[in-house]
Order: sequence, then C-alpha cells, then structure tokens
Amino acid sequence: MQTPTKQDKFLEDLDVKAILGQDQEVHIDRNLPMRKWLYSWLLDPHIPGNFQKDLDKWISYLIIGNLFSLMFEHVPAVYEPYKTWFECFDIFSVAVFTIEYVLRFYLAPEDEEFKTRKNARLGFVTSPFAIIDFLAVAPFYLQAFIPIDLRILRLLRLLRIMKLFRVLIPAIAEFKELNKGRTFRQKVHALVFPSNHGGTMQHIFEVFIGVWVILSVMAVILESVKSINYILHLQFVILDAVAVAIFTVEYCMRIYSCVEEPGYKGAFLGRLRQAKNPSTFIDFLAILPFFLEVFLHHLIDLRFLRVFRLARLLKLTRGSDATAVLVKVVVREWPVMGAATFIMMLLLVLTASLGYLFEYDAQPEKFENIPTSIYWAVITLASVGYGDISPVTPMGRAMTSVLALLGIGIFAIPAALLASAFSDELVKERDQLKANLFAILKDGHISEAEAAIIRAEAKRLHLTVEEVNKLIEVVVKEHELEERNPLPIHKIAENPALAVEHYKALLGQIRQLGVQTNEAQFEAAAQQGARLSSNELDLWHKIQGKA
Amino acid sequence: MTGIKHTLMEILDGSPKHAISRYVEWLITIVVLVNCTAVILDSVPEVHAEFKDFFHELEFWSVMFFTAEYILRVWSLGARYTPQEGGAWRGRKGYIFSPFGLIDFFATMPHYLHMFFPYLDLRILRVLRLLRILKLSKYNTALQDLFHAVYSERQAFGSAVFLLTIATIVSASLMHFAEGHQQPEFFGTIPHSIYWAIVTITSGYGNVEPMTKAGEAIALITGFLGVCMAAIMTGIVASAFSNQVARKKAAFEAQLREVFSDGNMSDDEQATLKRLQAHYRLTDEQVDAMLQRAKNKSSSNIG
Repeated sequence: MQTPTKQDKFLEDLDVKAILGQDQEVHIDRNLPMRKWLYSWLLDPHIPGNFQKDLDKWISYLIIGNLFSLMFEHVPAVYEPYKTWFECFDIFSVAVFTIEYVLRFYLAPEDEEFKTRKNARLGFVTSPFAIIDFLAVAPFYLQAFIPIDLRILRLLRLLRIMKLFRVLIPAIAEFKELNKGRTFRQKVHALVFPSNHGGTMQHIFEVFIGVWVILSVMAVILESVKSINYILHLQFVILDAVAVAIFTVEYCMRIYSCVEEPGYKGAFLGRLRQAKNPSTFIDFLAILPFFLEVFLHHLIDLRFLRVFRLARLLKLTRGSDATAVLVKVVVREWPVMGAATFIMMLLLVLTASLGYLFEYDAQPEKFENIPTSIYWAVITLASVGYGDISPVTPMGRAMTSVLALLGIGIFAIPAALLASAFSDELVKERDQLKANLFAILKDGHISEAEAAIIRAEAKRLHLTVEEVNKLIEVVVKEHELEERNPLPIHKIAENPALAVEHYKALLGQIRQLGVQTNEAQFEAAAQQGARLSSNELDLWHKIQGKA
Repeated sequence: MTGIKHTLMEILDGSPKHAISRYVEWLITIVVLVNCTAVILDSVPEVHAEFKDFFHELEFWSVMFFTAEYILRVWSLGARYTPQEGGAWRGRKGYIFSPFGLIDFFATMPHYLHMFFPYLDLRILRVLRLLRILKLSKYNTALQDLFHAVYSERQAFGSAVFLLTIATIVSASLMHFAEGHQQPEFFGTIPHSIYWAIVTITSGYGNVEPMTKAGEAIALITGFLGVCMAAIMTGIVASAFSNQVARKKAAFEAQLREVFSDGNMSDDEQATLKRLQAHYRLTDEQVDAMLQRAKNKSSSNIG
C-alpha cells in the first residue's frame, strides 16, 4: 500500500532551511587561495551567511563602547579609581581596530572597489574609510614616540565614531535607492514605520531609539543613587534633555508620517487614531513628564513625575509581538479572568475578616484593623509569606492552615488561565499557518513570494526549521487525504473494499461519539420527544457494546 | 397583583426580559461594595473617630435596603409556582433555605441582633457584615464554575490533597522529634508542628527557624515539597478550569448548531444565544468564530 507518492517525493525535495533563510550552509571552497578564502569569509558582502554582517555589528558595538568610555574619562571621579580599566579597554579596542585595518589592507586586492586599480592597496589606503580607520588608531601609536597633549589625543579618539559611517553610508545609499521618486512624507514613513521601503536604515533607526531608551532608563535608575547623582548630575541632565529631544522628534515623525500607514488615512482623524494607538501613546507618555515639568514647575512641584520616565522602557515593546499576544489573550479571556478575580476577592475578604476576628485580642498591634488584616491575607494567600504578621492563637493558626491551602489553588487560577489561553493562542496561530500552507502547497510548488510569507510567519511565531518541516508534512498528508477521500457515496458503493472502509470509519465516529457524550443525558435526550426510535436506540447500544 | 409579583420576581432574578433588571443588579452590587468598603475602613480607629456618624447612617440605610430587598424577594417568589405545583410557599421556602437566601438573611440580621442584644462583641458583628460580599456571588457564576471544575476533577484533587496530607504529617512529626526539645514553644506538640509544616509548604513566614542540623534538612525538604505541591495544584486547577471553559464552549456551540440547523435565526433564538453567551462568559470574538464555524458546517451539509 505504501508506495512513494508524488507528495513524498515533493517532501524529499523540499528544503525548508532554504525557505526560512536560516542557518544557511555557506559554500566557500576550502581550496581557494588563502587571501581569497579569508576575504570570502570575512568581508564579502555578497555571500549570505558569512561573517561580514557579524563583523560589522560587533565593530559598531565596540565603537559605541569607545564613545562611552571617552565620555566617562572626562569625569575625574569616575576616571581616577578605574584608570587601569579604561586604559585596558583602550588598548583592547585599538588592538581590534588595528587588526581590522591590517586585515582590510591585506585583503584589499580582493575587494571589488580596488580590484580594478593598478595598485589596489594604495587605492585602499587613500580611500576615505581607510583614512578614518587609520586616524582612529594612529594617535595611540604616535603617542608612544612623541608626547602628545592628552586633550588632543582624546579629540582624535573621538574620530573613531566616524568609523560608523562604514555601516551607515551603504545603508543610506540603499535607503535612497528604495525611496527614489517618493515624497518627503513617504520617506519619513519608510524610516519610522516598518515597510518594504525601509531596508537597513529603518533597522538602524530602531536600534538607535532602543539604545537611547536603555540609556535614559539606566540614567533614571542611577540618578536615584545619591553618590552617583552627586558626581554625574550634569551629565544626567544633559542625557535626559538629549533623550527627550530625540524621542520628541521621533514622536513628531510618527504623527507626521502615519498618514501613509494603511488604516490611518485622513489628515486629522488618521493622526488622532494613530495617537490613540497604544504604542504611540506610550511614546507620548515617554516625553510628557519632561514637558510638564518644564512648563508647570512654577505652579506645582512635579518632580515626582520623574519616576514615570521609567515608562520609556515600554517603548521597547514596540518591536516585540509578545506583549501584543499577551494583551490579546487577556482581552479574550477577560470574562473568565474577572470571575477568577472575584473568587480571589471573596477568599481574601473572608481570610482577612477571620484573621481580624481571631487575632485582634492576642496581638492588637499587628491585626489592628481590617486593612492591615487584608495586607496579611494577601501576603499569606499569595504564598509570599514575609512573616512580619502571623497568627498566634490556636484558632487563628488552624484557620490560616486551611485558608492558606485553599489559597494556593485559588491564586493559581489566573496563572493557569493565562497559561492555557497562551497555548490556545499558539495553537490557533499555528492552525492559521497551516491553512496558509495548505493554500500555498495546492499547486505543488513554493514560489519566491510564498516562501517570503512562510518566512515572515515562521519568524513571527518563533518556529524552528523542524517545526515548519513537520507542519508542511502534515499539510501535505492532509492534502493527499483530501484528494483521496471525498468521493460521493455512489462512487464508494461501487468499490466493496472502499465501502467497507467507509462503513468502518462511520462506525468509528459513532463509537467516538459514545465515548465522549454523557451516557445518561444522551439517553434522556433520545427518549425525550422520541428523537430516536427504539430500534435506533438498540442499534446505538449495540455499537457501544452495551446491548 | 399576581402580574406585578411575577414581573418583580423576574426582575430580581436577573431575567434579560426586563431592561431594568440589569440596573437592579448593578444597584445591589454597588450598595454591597460600598458597605464592605465602609466596614473595612470603619475598623481603622482614626477613620472611625472621624466618620462615626456617617458610617452609622450608611449602615442603617443599607440594612433598610437589604431588608426591603429580602422581603420583596420572599414575597415575589410566591409567584414562581402555580397553586397546582405547590403554591406560593413552595417557592418562598425554596429561596429562604437556599444558600443565597441564607446569605441574604445573615447579611441583614446582625444589625437587628445588635438592636436587641446591644452587648454583643462589635467585631463579630463587623465580620458578619463583611459576609455581605457573598451576596455578590448571586450575580456571578464564578463560584459555581469553580465548584463544577473542582467537582469534575475531584479524583485528581483527592490525590493531591492526600499527597499534601502525607507530606504535612510526615514533615510535621519528623520536625517534632527533631526540634521538640530545642523549641518546645513551636514544635512541642504535633499540631503545632503541623501548623509550621503547612505554613512552610504554602507561604513560609520564616518566623520559626529550625535550630538543629536534622531540623534544617527537614525544613529544606519541606520547602522543596511546597514548590512541588504548588505546581501540582496549579496544574490541576489549570486543567480543571480550562476543561470547564471547554465544556461550556461545546455546549454553546451545540446550541448554535441547533439554531442554524433550520437555516435561519429568529429573534427569540438570538435572545437565547445572547443570554447563554453572558452565562457562559464568552467574548463576542469567540462567539463570532463559533458562528462562522457553525455556518460553514450547515452550508457544507446542505451543499
């Protein structure tokens, strides 16, 4: 019976890894000449899966790290105790940058840009990027031979930030290419909102905002430490101002360009709708405290609002869909969650009032009133158990024992609900993907556009290659079944073997019905209003094996 | 008169036939919540000193309100059964001795008790007044849900409770032998140790600490057992509750199928569905999905 069908062959030929664009095997010939081989691994931007992207990324991080160390070196209180560490970091980054420079110098003859030149390495050395790279490290070596003023040295080190242009300039070029002939507003939209026109530039923009969010939140946290705030007060103020400026510009850009987003048409109404959008509203909240304080400081003391700057952390949730799923799940399960909360409230009031009743006489300073008792009840039932208030009377203790045990179960309900709702959501989304796959696989092959859809979905649902593989397999099998199965009854009847199979399948369904339904209720329903004749009921019993 | 009685019964019963029954529900809910808040705040001496008279007034008027509600309920429930079915008092008796009727009674009674026996402990009265919050459960089937869920998983619960009992008793008695002489005030008797064991398994106050090496080892194991027990409980409750929800959805979907089987949806059927939706706590989104499925099914049956 099991013959390799065309579907099996299809499954064998399918390369899910290639479709998902993950863990691609890089095919670089080991027998290439050393220089060519190194270039293909490290610097060639045209081979997907080699280390060129990673190299760029890590170098960029190192540059940003350098920028920060330079900033902190200016603060003597920070610099003096950790002088050695700063020097070590500087030596480390100079070493990395030197290796990078030497590598690029060595590999220059392989580079497309310099290949055509007569002297490729000379071409490399005189190219703008290489000059910047050189200036970034040169002062360090120069300083070994001739004494240079520390301040000039630092100024020259600031040049290292220019190294970022190596990443930035191609991205800008790509962005320009993608947005040729579009209006200014469309360009802003492409930069701020994820779209087909964004490219790398949009990604860089998101990372930039993310870095500033983390920076400003860290600043808020460190500000609350008195000794740090004393040293770095000015820096914190400047940092906050810059962060607010950046976030304000971002917010304005979003509001200005959101009209290009589908679903937000309309110069005023569309923008209003965008402003009401949760993630945009968070952006607004992130900058609001600053402006409130600036404009209203002479009226009321609004310093307490500074704590709300921590809300900026929520800006990071824009990219992740985990929060979206969470919100969706909570909204969908809201009625049941409300019920669970209600039960929790009942138990809480019960525990608190009984605790108050039994313990007030024994320790009036601890169970002094019902609000305190409620606090104790929450701490006990939620199994936190600080132990600052605990019952001492035998009755109180017995009551606590019973209610604490109940508490575990009842306080577990919301967690349980959320867990099951989450997994439901996942199953639902997978079913959706399965339906998509079904449509995609109908014609028997996967086109480039369809592969892109699968890729996007798999990324969104965090599916691994194996999982997608399995899903595709299931879909193909189902497809096969569907092709075979829905024959009209008279067609099945023509073939006795098929007819027997069909009969068996139907019987199986009836048996399953019998297993899953409530027996007594089924009988009652069958007899009520004579829905089933006695013959039919007998047959039912027989099939269920209870005749 | 009977007409009024019948209508009143339906309104107080929360029947969706009358728009006003929703508002009555809300009114009662609000009065109960205000009352509970007041009782809680009243127990704080400073607040009590300041708003004594206000709380007194509030208590008086809410007791009047609840008394009126109770009397109306008892009176109107006379219309539930026709004289052939058992007469007016069958419905009334059924209500008075139902859990909800008892709750309603005990929610109002303390005030009158206090009137007749003014020397009763004030705190007992307060706690009894707090029990008014149980009146809310009438409008919320959550408790019923919970009981159903627990009941349907009673075997799993039974074994979990059995495990818990064993864990508690074993660790309590071990602790009694290990620490009974060192800390007689905490581990002197086995009931005392049982209290310690349950607290350690559930929340762990940390105000009683073992002093001997053996005691430390036992405490360690007990704490670990606590985590396991919590996980087991969570798992059972989770599956019980989600099964309960799944059952309800299935029931609703069956109802939907039935409605769709004749191909159209009458106003009456729509009202039934709306009521069921509220009863089963389904969101509109879930209902839409089911509706779609039912439609597909019925169209594929026809086609």
